[in-house]
Order: sequence, then structure tokens, then C-alpha cells
Amino acid sequence: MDAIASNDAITMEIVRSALNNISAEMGTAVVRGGYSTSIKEGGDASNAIFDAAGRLVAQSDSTPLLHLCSLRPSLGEVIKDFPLDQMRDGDVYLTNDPFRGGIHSNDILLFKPVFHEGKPVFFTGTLIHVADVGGMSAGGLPANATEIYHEGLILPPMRFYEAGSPNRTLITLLTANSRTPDKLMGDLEALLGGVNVGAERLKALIGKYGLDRLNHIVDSLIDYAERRTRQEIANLRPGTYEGSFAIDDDGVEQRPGGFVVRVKVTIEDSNFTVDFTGTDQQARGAINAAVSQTMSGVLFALRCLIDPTIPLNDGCYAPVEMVLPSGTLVNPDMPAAVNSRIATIGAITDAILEAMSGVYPEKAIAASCSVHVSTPTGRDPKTGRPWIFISAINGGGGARSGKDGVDCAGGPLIIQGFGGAGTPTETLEMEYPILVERVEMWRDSGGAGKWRGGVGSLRDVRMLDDGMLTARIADRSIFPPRGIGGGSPGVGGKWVINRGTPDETTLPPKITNHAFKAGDVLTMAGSGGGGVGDPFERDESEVLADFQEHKLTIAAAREQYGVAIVAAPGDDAVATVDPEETLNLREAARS
Amino acid sequence: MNEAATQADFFVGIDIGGTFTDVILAEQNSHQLFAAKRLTTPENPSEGVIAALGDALEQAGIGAGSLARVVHATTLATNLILEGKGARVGYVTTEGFGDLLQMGWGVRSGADRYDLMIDEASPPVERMMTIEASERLNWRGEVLTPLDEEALAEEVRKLIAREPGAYAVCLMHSYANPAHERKVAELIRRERPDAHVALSSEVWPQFREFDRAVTTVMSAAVGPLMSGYLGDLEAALGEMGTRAPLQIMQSNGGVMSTGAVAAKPIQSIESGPAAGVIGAAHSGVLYGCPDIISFDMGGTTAKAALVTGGRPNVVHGFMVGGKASSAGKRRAGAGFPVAIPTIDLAEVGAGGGSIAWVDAGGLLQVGPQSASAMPGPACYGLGGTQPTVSDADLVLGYFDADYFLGGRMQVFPELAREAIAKHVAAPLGMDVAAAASGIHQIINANMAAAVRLVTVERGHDPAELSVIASGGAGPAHIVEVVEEFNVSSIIIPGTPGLASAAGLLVTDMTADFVRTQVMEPDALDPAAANAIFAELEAQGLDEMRGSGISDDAIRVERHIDARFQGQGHEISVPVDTGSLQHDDLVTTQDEFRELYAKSYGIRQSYPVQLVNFRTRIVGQVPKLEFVRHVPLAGGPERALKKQRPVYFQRAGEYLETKVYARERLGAGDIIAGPAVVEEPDSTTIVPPGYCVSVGDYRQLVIERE
Repeated sequence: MDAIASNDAITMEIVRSALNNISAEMGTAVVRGGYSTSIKEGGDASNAIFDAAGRLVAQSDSTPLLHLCSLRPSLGEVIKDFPLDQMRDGDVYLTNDPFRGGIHSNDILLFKPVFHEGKPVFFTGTLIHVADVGGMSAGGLPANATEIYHEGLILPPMRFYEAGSPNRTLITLLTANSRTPDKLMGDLEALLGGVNVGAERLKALIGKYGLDRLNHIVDSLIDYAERRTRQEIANLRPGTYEGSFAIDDDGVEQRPGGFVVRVKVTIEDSNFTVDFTGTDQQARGAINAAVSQTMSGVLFALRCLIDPTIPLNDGCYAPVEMVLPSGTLVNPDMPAAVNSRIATIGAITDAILEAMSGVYPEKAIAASCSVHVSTPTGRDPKTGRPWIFISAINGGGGARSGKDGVDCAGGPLIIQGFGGAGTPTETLEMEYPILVERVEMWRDSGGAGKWRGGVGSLRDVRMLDDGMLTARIADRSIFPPRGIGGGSPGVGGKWVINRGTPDETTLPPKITNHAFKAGDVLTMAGSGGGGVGDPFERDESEVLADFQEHKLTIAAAREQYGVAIVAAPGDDAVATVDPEETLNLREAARS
Repeated sequence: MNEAATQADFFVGIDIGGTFTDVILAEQNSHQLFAAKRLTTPENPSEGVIAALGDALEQAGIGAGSLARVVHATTLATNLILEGKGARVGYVTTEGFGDLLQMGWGVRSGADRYDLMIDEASPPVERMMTIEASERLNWRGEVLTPLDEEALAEEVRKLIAREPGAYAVCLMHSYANPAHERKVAELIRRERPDAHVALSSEVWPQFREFDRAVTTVMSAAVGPLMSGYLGDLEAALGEMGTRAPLQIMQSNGGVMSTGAVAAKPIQSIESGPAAGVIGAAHSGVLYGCPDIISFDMGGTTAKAALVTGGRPNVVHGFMVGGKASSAGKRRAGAGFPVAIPTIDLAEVGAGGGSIAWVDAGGLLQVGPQSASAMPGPACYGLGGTQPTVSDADLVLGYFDADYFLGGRMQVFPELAREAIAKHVAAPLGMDVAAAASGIHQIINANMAAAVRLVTVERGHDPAELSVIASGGAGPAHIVEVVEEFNVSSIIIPGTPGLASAAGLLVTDMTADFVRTQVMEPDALDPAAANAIFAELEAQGLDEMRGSGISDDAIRVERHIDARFQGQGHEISVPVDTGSLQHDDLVTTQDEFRELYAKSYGIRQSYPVQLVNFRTRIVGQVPKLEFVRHVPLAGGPERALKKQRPVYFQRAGEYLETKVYARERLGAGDIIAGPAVVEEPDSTTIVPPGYCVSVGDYRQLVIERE
């Protein structure tokens, strides 16, 4: 390395920090300004910086993993429709088209070209799940949609601002098609705040380093990320590895064996190829994943296998290849419905992790819970104001080799804003006509194993008003998170209305527009994670601790683990292991 | 013993840090400070305090009877939580919610999100030490299910048998009605009259049960040991002959009596850094710069805080018990949220001990690993071989090997060179000086992120602000840290290396109270607001009067947290202290909209809810008074010690640079950079293109030429 290059190594690191700060600052602007329920309940925003060629330069750490890969291809589509020489300073572009880089109708992306000496030299981009944009159910998650036209407005790349002035035609159209136009505009303004802040900061950075030098540094950063990613992939064991994962249903129908994602992962030289040949045909229902969503699942899985501190920019994509047969769950044809795709991304991730777990037993992880989201809605009888409560519940994480799964944490990919016990009950009850009667760990839901799957969480919500469950999207109820190496699967999540009463109703995993009455109690339970290894090899003291921490009942300890736990007289929270009985149970199982 | 011994007019500030216990002693209206440093004695912290205080008293030639004010910042609460050594807490909550703290937080960010092998922070309370009470309130405080006392009494007896060291009670919506929690306390005390019982409705009655429960549990966990420690320290000080009451620094930037702190011990968490900001805020006002950025660079972290109008920004929400503590955003692995008011600090893992390394892709990185005090930077010669920021500073000539800590500590420049040559210069193919300069630049860029967070990201233009820099290494780095921000000036106060202890001497007594009551946009209730404020103020006035503060020295401040109906982020809006009318609350709604627009750049017209009512009672007490310095005869040459080569990045080489002794500089002196100003606890670096002038209080003011 010569002197100039090594001096650049220092400037590169400084510029990389500056770019990260800018993307983080864009995120702060969007989250604080955002109005839709999903963002204020903890979902973060996606924010990124691109160069004039549309290459990803930096992306905020807070970008939800589900949204990892959508900004990049969407900008490419914007540039296709609006070549750089047609762009003007002050333009802002808007899109959501799932067949052109987007995710589903409610995930809206904004891009702003950053001008220098009369030419666009960088772009800033932001993305959040915005408030209602129409479609067959309020909130934009109609699980029984069968065409993209059911899901809300489709917005190919368009000018949202033209040379600094808002596009009134587009805004009129958007607000006329939204059930909550004020909130939608609030969210779009938040996105706008994000791209504007980022553009200002980039201009300052150009001022500091000069455009040529900054572009040179950006090239080096992208080369660097590619070099590091390739090094890490080259360190993986070469070969082709297979995995698959089934999705419960598609919101319209159930099939024996479910809807299956199949992968062949090939590691060769420094390339990482995921071939989806053999994956089921696209579904009639809404579980189809737009290509950028499939990419998110792939990139996420890859970053779990390599050093995740490699800066996420265009260089990370270079060694990744996907083989995507068209007309399948992972590359659907128009006019497939796509809003319930979270289930499919989860299946993609777990299929890849399964493929790799044989090669890397030390990184092997049993399957985790997947998505559990619902949107109870109603109308305040006094004010007439509509309410939409996006409610997510966390299942358990899969057990790892040498470690139990994380309790109530969601699956690997879902982990973002909705962690642990979820949104505070005190906040929910102030805002919605509900009474939360119970928030607890769902005992015995973690898959038994030498390493136990994480337990799911359970929430009982009493509805104080009539209303409508406009969407419920869940997965891994019918095919619960599997265990590995002799570990049991977790218990599949379920949603039940009026549990334990004569009119108890269990809801299918994916439904739309299910009415409820005041007084109904909705029980939401998230799947437990799968276990790893033989449960009869689990240390007795761990089983006792699970009982004392309310993750396991005495009956399950005996049945699933062969451990006899005896409660103390007069205080059933205090217990000990009966060693003799345990020995008998465990030996009986072995013989 | 000198004359002063007859009058009790000496102030003492005591700051216990991880490594050192710092004591600063000063006569109320003199400029002479006596400083003492002793190693912290973790087993019995009051030992180190008494030893260091003895040193300082001896230097001043006075007895402990001359102390008028003893102010103390302690990391005891922080450490008990970090090390999990607090009391085993018995926890009582509403039926159906006993698992809440086990379920945890689960929020992750950055690289942690791809870590399939991640470990979660341990819950702050054991599930088997938790019991549930059959009872339920709604958010208005109305009873939906009455408390089943009989069943609870039975559960309480079982819990007591499991031998908790303290009790925490957090029932659903208890912020709106404390009756059930009080009843629970009564049931516990009926069996255990001396039990330490923390009620969430007393510790911090604010909505969001997870945060309130954690705050209450943490308060209970540190309570018994904190009370014991404060009792020991008071007794030891009494034995020395001190008659002044002991005051304890809180995270909110004010001090309280030991009695008040023992009742809410969680409020003493992170009090050292808070004292540093208070000190900087006070200095800023003194120097005529009430709007400042306080910057403090220590061994492992750097902290930045914003001060406007002489007052630091206070936030509600602080993470404890995880990998690191940080105010503001909830972070991965950061532990559990505590809801108490805390001075808004941005903290980054960058300091003198941060280790430099070259990653697999050939990029130079600095931190977040730190060499800490043991083995320390390579130049300490204590066995450390990894190059650190301090090693780079030494190689660059920013510190003098012969004058480290004023010559009290020996360091080895050749070990620093060796470490940098081997681990940075050789892999990058550059010379040692350029490598050291690279380390210096990268750590400065990392620290700039903290400054950016509290200024630009919150909508404050740094060009309108001065920076007050402290910490042993702060004055050597600050010019480059803030170079990109165009701040109006950079100020180095006196004794920058002892800023937290010095900050203690300019604090007031402060008590914070909160109550959640939701007022819908169209149902503003001034009578209810007045009643809440009256009740909160009565509590605060009692505490102040109990500490002997006269009413005319008491100031009351009020805030109301408002938010757009249905939005998740509240903003605190200041309100008048008189009797509030309906129009005043409408004004609060309007002011909220203004603040929102200013903070986030978006003007929204949605209806505004009022949710939390906050009161701060400030009891003004005598503080250290600084005197103007009389200009000295002659120019700055009187302070010239020597010349030494110092590396400046802009020059790209070592420049022969004059070194001045700070104690011999006088008001009005002006020196053009490059220059070095040394004092025992710190070194100030003035690069070419800057000049430094000495202010009326002998503060150093660095500006662009």
C-alpha cells in the first residue's frame, strides 16, 4: 500500500462514520415525525444514501431487517423512468410498486437527488409503513387478498415534489384513496423530513471533501465491503447445501404440506448463490414475496453467517446471486398479492439457516416463531374517530447449540421494534377501547431439548367495544417451529376468541375482516421456538430453573424432560428436584 | 491550622470514580482549590473518601470543622446494578403481569441483529420472587377489581419466607391511584416492620408499566446498601469533625439530603457525569456563554451534553444494567430502562484507553475496546501491548512523558511507538507518526458523533454555541473534535481533569416529581392540573424545608408532557407556576406544537393530549464563588517552560512548539498556535491556525485566527 492509499484508509473511516451519522439522523427525523401506528409502536425507519449511479453507499442501522433490500432496487426503477438529466434540484420521487423494487402498497419509498453544480450527484432515500392507502381492509394487510389491486394504490415512480413544489395532483389522489388521509400525509411529511435532512448533510460533506474526493472514497468503501464480504464467504466451507421450510397457509387456502420454500445454497470461491428452484408456485393468497423481499431474507441470512459489522453498502451485494424461477412464492408474477410476505421471508431465512446448519453445527439454530400481527379496528362511539391498533405478539427464538432460545423475542428476522413484552399495556388501554387482562410467558411453549426453545408470549385482550379484526397474519401455527438434533418443535401459536367458554373460536392463521363484539376476549399466543438436542440430556438444574422462572410446568418437566420436580409444602413457587425419581424416569426412557 | 478554621466556609466536592476518588476543597470565595486523588476503595468506599479528604484538608491546613458544605457523587448505585450485587428484591404486581420483567425488552440494533448467538440481559428480578395481587385499576385510576387483601396476605407471607432483602411494588395504572400499592406496603410492613419497600406510585408515578416497574425494582435493589453506605459515610465524616450535612448528587443535576436520597436511591445513578455537566454549565454562565456544549473525555468514554441558557437538558429514560449505560434511545444490550430524570448525555465508547487496530479489510479502527486502567495503554508499562489513543497522543507530542499527571506518573514513549509501529504502522505501510495521527483523527471523528447527537440532531446550530472541554485528555483533542461544527469558541475551564468534583461545588438542591394524568384534547381540566401540581409541590417543599432551605431560596418549575393524540412521543412543555386557567392549558398545547415543529421540522395540526405533570423544586444554596483574576505583569513568555516537537495533522509533520505552564498565565494573555499549555491534570493543544487567550477567570479560550 502506498502512502496516499494508506492516508485514504484513515479518511475512509472518517467518511464512513459521517455517512452512518447522516443515515441515522435521517432515521431520527422520520421516526419522530411518523404518525402511523406501526412506526410509533416501535418500528424504525429505513434510510439510505446512494451515489449518482444508484449504488448503495450507506444505510442506517435502524433499518428493519424486513426492509433491508427495498430502497436499492426501487431507486434503480426511479432512475429508469426519470433519467438524471431530467431531474431538477428540489425534486422528490415517490414509489411503492412491489414489482419494481417495492414491498407492498403501504411501504412507501421517497428519494431525493442531491444536487451539486447543477447535477444530481447523490440520492437520499427513506421508507416506512405508512397509514392507510386504500385496499380491501383498513391498515393495508388484507390476508385474503388475491390480487395486488386488493391491497391499496400501486404507485410507480412519480414526482412527489417537483423543483421544490409539491405535486398537488398526486397528493389529491393519495388523500382521496386513504381511509386516514391526515395520518397518511403526516407519514409522507415524515419521510420527506428524512430525505431533506440527509440531502443537507450530504451537501455539507461534499463541501468538506470536494465531490471528486468524496466519490473516490465512496468507491473505496464499496470495494472494501465487497472485499470483506468475499473474504468471509471464502472462509465458509465450499459446497452445495439444501434446506426447505413450509408456510402454514396463504390466507385463502390450506394445502397438505403447506407452501414450501426450497433453497440450494452454493458456496464456491467467494460467491454465495441461493437457488430457489423447487420452491412452490406463487400462492393465490397474499404470502408471495416481492423480489426485494426475497433478497432481504437472503442478505439477512448471509450476514448471520459472516461478520455483520461489514458496512452495508453495494459491495455486500456483489458476491450474492439468486436464482429465482418466475411465478413462484419468491418471484411472483403480476398481479400476485404480496402483503403477507413476512411469513415467506421467515421461511426463506430458516431454509437457508437449515441448509447451513449441517455445515456449521456451532452456528446451528432451531426454527423460531414467525410473524404474529393483527389489526383490531373500530370506531369510537362518542367521537366517531376510527381506531386501528396494530398488535404484534412475540413468540420464542429457536434454541442454539449450547444455548437456550431467546424467550418472547420473535424470530431472528422479526426482531426489531416489537421486542419482549411488547407495547406497554398502560399505553394501549389509554388509547384503545381494550382491557389487557394478561401478558405472560406462554408456559411449555418452548420446544423441549438439551437446549430449550424460547417460550412465546401470550396476551389476553378484552374488547370493550364492537369492532373488526381487519387482519391477522400469523405463521408457524400449523407447522410449528421445528427442533433439530433430537429437539422437539415449539408449540404453534394460536389466536382464540373467548378461550375456555362455550363459544370459543380458534382463528385460522391468516384472515381478514373478522367481526368481534364488546366483551369478547382475544387470546394471542406466539409460537415457541424449536429445541436443540435430546431433552432427557438437559441438566436437571436447568429444568428446575425453567419451572421457577415460569417457563415450564411440573407436568411438562416430567413428561418432556424426565425430571421430577417437587413443590415445597405450602409454597408451590419453591421447588426441588427429586433425584431418584428423575433417575428412574430418565433411565426408563433410555431402555 | 489557619484563620479560616474558625469559620465554616470551606466547600468540598467528592467524586468516586471507577479508578480514582477525587476531592476538591475550596474556600467559598477564594480562587484557591486544593485537589486530592486516592485510589477508590470498592469494598468500603468511604475509606477512600476519608483518606482523600484528609489529604485535601491537610493541604489547606484546616480541620473538618471548617467545612460548610460536603457534596458527594457516587457510583455505588450504578455499580450495584451493573454487578448485580443489589438486594434480592421481592416484587409484587397485578395478577396477569407477573412475568413482565422476565419477558424483557428484546430490542436490538446494529450488528447485534444478525447475532444468532446473542445473550439477553438478565431480568432485574427473579420470577420466583414475584407475587401477583388480584386487583385492577383503569388508566383513570378507577377500581375495576378491588384488592383481594386476604389472598394477598397469604402470598406476602410466602414471599417473606423466600427471604427478600427489599420489596418493590408496581401495580397496573398505580400512577393514577396509589391506594392499592399503599395497602400492599401495609401488608408487608405488618409482617416485616423494618422492610425496605419501594412503591412505584412514590418512586416515579408515570405511565408505561415496564419502565416504572424497572425503576421501582432497581430502587429497591440498591436501597438497603445505599442507606447503609450513606450512614457509614456520614458517621465517618462526623468522626472527622464535620458538622456540615452530607449532600448527594443525583442524575438530574441537583443534590439532595441523604434522607431524601435514601428514600429514592435510584436517583443517584450516574451522578458523576451529571456533576461534570453542571460544572460546565456554571462555568459557561460565569464566562458569559450560557449556551454551550459540555464535552468530557475520559479513559473509556466521551460524553457530550447541551446546555442552553445556563441549564442542561434533562430527559426521562436511561438504560442500566446492560453492556453500557446511555441516555436517550433504547439500545441493544443496553439493559433496562429507568424512567428517572437524567441530564441528557450522549456517550460514545471512545477515550484515552481506546485500542487502535487494523481490520481484516485493511481499515484502521479505534475502539470500542478499551485497555482500561489495567493493563492500560502500552506507554504505562504495565503489560499492555495494544496501541491506544493515549499512546498516539504521547507519540504526537501532545503529552510530555516527563510531566504525566504533573510528573507523578512515569510513562514510556518507546513502548507507545513500538505498539503503534507493530499493530498499525506496519500493516498499513505508513510511518509511526502518520499512524498515530490517524488514530488521533479517527477517535476524534468517533467523538464528534456525540457532539452531533446533542446539537445538530436536536436542531441546535453549533455555530451559536461554545464548547467547554474537560477530562484529562479532552483539552488535547477538542479542537479537532469540533472542527467540522464551526463552534464559536472552545473553552478550557480550570482543573479540567477534575471537572466532576468541581461541578459538585456549584450545585443546588433539586427534587423532581411526576404524575401521569391523561387529559384529552377537548377535556382540559385546569382544576385537576392545579391539584396535581399543588400536591407535588407540597412534597418538594417539605423536603426542602426539612433540609433547612428558607422559602425565599426555593424555586418551583413546572412542565407538562404533551403529545399528539395517539402519537408515541411526548415533549415536555414549561408552564407557569401560578394557578392555571383553561387558556393556560390551551397555550401549552400551542407551545407543544411549536416545540414539535422546532424539534422535528414538521408542523402538524393534530389534537394535543396532556399526559404527565412534572414539578421540579430547586432549593438554592451557597455555592463556590469564583473571583476574577488580576492580570499579571508582562506577557505570556513568563509562563514559557520549554519547546518540544509536536505533530500537527494539517502541517503533516512535527513542529517545534512552545510549551506554557498554565498556572503562570494571566488574564489577557494571548498566544498564537501552535502552542501547548500544561497543567498537572491536563494538557491543552492549540494547533496552527488557532490562538488561545486567557479570560478573566483564567479560562483558556481557543478560537480560529
